Amino acid sequence: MTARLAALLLTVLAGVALWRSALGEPGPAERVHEIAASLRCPDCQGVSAAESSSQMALSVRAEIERRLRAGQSADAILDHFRQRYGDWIRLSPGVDGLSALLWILPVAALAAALLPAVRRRRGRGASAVLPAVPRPGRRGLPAIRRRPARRAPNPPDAEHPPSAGRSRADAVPAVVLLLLGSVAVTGGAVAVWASGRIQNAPVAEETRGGGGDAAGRARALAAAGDHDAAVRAYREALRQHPDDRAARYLMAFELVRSGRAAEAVALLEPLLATRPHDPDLLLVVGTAELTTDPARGRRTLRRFLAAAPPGHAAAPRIRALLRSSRDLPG
Amino acid sequence: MTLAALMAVPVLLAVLVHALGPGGRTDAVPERRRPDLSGRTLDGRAFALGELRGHPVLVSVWASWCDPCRAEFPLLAGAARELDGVRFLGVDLRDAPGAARAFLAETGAASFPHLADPDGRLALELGARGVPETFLLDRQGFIVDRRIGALTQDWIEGHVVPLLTP
Repeated sequence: MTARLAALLLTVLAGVALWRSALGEPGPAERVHEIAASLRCPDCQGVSAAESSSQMALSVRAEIERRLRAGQSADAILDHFRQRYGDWIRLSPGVDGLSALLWILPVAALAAALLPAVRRRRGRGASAVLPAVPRPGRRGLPAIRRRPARRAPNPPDAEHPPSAGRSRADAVPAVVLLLLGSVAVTGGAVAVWASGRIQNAPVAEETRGGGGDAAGRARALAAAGDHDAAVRAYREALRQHPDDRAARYLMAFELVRSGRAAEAVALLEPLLATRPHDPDLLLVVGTAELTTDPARGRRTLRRFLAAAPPGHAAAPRIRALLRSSRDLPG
Repeated sequence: MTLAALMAVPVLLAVLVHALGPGGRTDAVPERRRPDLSGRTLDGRAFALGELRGHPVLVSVWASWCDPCRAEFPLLAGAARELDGVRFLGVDLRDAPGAARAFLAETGAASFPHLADPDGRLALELGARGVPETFLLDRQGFIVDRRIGALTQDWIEGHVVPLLTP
């Protein structure tokens, strides 16, 4: 019955696989996306080159497309990026010796855990098919093989306590399991620790960021949806680093999200005098002004469109928004 | 909040989270290599990095829409004037040519060549993470150092000047 079920399942899976392959090869855009999805966005954090709209992610996608058109394989393209950025660029790095071991160990531990159960099951299965009453032995068979059939059974725990043999048999896999499990857990912990060290390794000449822990906390609070607390944390970050422009913009953004658009405008408007062509600044101010003074917001967003570099991620959507907002009240 | 503002906020979220994300990055060491940079300069000439072989070269990846670039360029232009033995090259990333030329005129950095990089191919060839970023190449054209973010006088003195001693 189980075998029939397994066969049925395999047939269904094979059918699904055939159906998927019959859908045809992915198109050029899908292939670009597929390769970009396995590469990090160079100027973002924690997102792939397929997800981000940053200038460098756009460049990565354009380069992948160019190389695919030139007939290069996905492997050759990935290798091209690896040579220039190191293994960091791969979102799912290749399997080296250590990482292979760390993948294999839990599987081995699981196999070791299942082994005694399988043995027991097979053992029980084998005894179940034997006749309840042993058949008489054939002539010529050694007496020792026939003797147990004729002999009255011993009391269960007189000479061979039933658990003794099994526990000895189970003891070895259990020890192996314990050892493998410990190694796997330790290995996993080491891998996580090592990966954390690599991920957090500061670039020697890194100059970006700023705001220290307060900015990081603010981002975490914003991601958790606590906009008021994020604003407070950004305020603290700006006290530590008044020139951290990113923190100022993000604080304004959090003010807009928490319904305090007027404060966002007040926070950023002075900067417009010195940075009248900063597209990010115009974008945040314009968005905030859409609430406080919609006509002015639309004017600021039109200025954003004029200042935005080609391919700016927000430009198409702001353009669409301005077109549609002509018909909106306010 | 108006409907338009409601529509704009998700756009902002998507853009700002990526554009203004925090700094700390991994810097796995790529292979030691000689980048192959060639193309058209902003004033329309054909140019190849190989023409500068035999000198240490400072390659700056920049864009006119990048404010830290604007802040660092006077320093870069001054270094180009003062460091006789070093050659300078700009890579103008995904920029509008008119804005880029105005930027150079404004910052006084038009004295050395700047390759136009409209699709980011040259920045990727260098292994750049964004703008501004500076790569220091030795006399054989190998990348020997890099600076992510704006240049400082200390960095130039500590990393570029030592390459001038034979």
